[in-house]
Amino acid sequence: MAKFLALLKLNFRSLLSAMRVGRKKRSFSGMGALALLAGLSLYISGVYSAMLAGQLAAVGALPLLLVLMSLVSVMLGFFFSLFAAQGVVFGAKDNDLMLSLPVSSFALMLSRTLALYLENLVSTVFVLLPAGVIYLWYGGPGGWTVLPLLLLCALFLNLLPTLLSLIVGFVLAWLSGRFPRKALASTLFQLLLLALILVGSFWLSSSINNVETAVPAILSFFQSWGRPFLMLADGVSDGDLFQLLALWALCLIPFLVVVWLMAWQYKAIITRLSVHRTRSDYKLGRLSSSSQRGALLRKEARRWFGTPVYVFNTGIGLLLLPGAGVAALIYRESIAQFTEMAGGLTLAPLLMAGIAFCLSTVAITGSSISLEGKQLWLLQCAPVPVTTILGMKVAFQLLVILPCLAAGWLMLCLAFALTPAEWVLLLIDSLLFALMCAPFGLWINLHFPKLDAVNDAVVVKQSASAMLSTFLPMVLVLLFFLLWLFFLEPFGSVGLLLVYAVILAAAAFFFFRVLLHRGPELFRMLSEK
Amino acid sequence: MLHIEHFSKSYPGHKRAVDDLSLHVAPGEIFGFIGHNGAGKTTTLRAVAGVMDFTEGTITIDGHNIRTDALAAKKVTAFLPDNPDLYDFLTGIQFLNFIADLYEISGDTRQNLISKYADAFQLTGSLGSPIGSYSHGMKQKLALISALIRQPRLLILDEPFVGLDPSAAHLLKQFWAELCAAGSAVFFSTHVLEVAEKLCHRVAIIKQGKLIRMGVTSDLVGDSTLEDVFLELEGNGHG
Repeated sequence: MAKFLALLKLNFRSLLSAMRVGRKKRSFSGMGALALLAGLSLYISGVYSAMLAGQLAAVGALPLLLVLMSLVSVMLGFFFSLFAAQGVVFGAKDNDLMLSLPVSSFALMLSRTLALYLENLVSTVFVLLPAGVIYLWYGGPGGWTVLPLLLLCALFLNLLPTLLSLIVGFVLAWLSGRFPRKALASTLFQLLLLALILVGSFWLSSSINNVETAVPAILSFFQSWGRPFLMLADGVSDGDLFQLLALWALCLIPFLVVVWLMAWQYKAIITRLSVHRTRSDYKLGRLSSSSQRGALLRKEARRWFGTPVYVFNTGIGLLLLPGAGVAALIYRESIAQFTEMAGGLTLAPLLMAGIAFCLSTVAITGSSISLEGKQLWLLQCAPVPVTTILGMKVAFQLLVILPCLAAGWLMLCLAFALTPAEWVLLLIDSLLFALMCAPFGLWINLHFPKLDAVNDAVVVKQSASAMLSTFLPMVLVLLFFLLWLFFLEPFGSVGLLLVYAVILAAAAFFFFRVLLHRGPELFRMLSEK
Repeated sequence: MLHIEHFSKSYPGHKRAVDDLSLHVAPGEIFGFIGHNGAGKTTTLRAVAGVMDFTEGTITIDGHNIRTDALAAKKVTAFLPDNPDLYDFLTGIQFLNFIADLYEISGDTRQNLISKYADAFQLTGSLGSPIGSYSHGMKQKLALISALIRQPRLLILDEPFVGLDPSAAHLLKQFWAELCAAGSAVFFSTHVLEVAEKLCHRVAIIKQGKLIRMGVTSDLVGDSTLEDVFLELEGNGHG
């Protein structure tokens, strides 16, 4: 037991240190990142619960709030730990050392899985707790025992996202060992998962908007596949011990069975992953030269396309932009009816906020310095100006964004029947936002590099820089939304888009200037980190 | 070729890693840099390569100051750290092309040089595979090839023989001799004192960041061995 606890402590510390900033105050920084995760979960849960509770209470179906929010907690936990499972459980770099220790494969795997479980627990608790408070606020049955029971259920419910992440991590590891084009296979599989998550999210959003008519369909789903969530709500609101025990068993037993089965093959799985086959039939052909800029740009592209976790954590916005455009074109008539009903309300500034939200998720530069990791010496000793190295990282992000942005912009403008001035200003604003985000992400990453990460997933998903470079531009998006909400009338649509343009132009100029002047010095200082 | 004058380096919160180091490496010379773990060898090599910033002293390579004329100095230099991490997502040939592009080596020249060195190290057949699939030794060879195709005026290596098989180590010595015959210089650190004694025209011994002995290898060793000299210096508390 002492060995197991030592392993668990080590693996949890490893997860926390992955989120730290700099070398000092390790646990504090790790805890800070956990606090950020808790805050994000709290925000999502607060917003969804508040939106749902009023409507559900009106149709006498308030306990459904607990059902839906427990589903959200599982989805959120799964989303947060999806890539971590692959890295922490199956792709850890200390496998040789760990396997040489006198501990069983089961203990090793369980300790790594439980470290993931502990990380997930933060989001699960901070989704369920606010949902419980709002549920009670609206007079949900069960009294104040609801909250301690919810917390108890969170301990068991949290096993589900951990289990799902574990299975997906295993499948990805399995694919890696069997397909010659590992990155492509992994990318396609994750694309499928992403599509499922998006379908689930749309279904939830649609249910929220039409709660009254959707209640029977929601209940029907939860009476079949979603049974555990219904058990949770029934158990918590009615204090039904049988339902609670059944729920806990439903969460715990599959978890233990899967962990036991995987642990049985654990050594074989990670050994297979560490075996690489090298071909020996390459024949040197004619080689041609290209410019330094071209070489750096190609290198950035190969890293991005060759690292599935990087693509999926920074590429969702790229899919959403044309996706939203296509959806808007399909529902063009409904949009026209809505704007007419709203007295010719112009949505161009709100569209800008939406586009900016998508763009803020494409934080490629936010991880690009950290991903250089131990290969940073190659760039540091190269006879290339640092401004060129940094410039090509910024340029790659812009190159990836531009085609998707252009397609999304064109379709959205057509679907929303914008005026010519709005077309032009929406494009200018979107470009300026992209121009601001790229140097901003790089600047953040130069300040908060994570050069010693155990794998790429840690950098892209859990590092402080990745989080800051994604979420801080979203604060600006919130500002845009508030401007639209409160200042649309006095400024008008075009006026508001012009205000956005001025703010964005100033921000983009500032970050390019900062990067140009401070970037080279920060880059040189990386060798001392 | 290489002039280090009064170079010092301190890390924040630590004592001096290197203290007032001065040494010169002449064209055509193989210069060995010897010292115990943590003596300051890697710090010096990284500063010479322009990988690490410093504020005290001057370092010039082929007349170019590494701080004020860094790009020109780096252009004539090739540096290999003790455990060269390369881009796992690139194939061997993509990596060599990347390096050749950064050092502005023409298509024909790079083709000839890659062919020469990859054939010699028996790595040509594997150049189409991702570096992530290479063994440690193969990565070491690829890193060496990437350094040699630059035809550097100064080759800087940190523990270059670690991980190399005997035939690759033999080849490396031959290529050093070729480089030196063409007027280039080799500046390397090692713990393998027998190799240093046989290969180096001159050696410098560093202890706790300070240079404690430097000279022509044969003069320094005399009738003894470099190992004896090193152990004696380490033991009697010089510096």
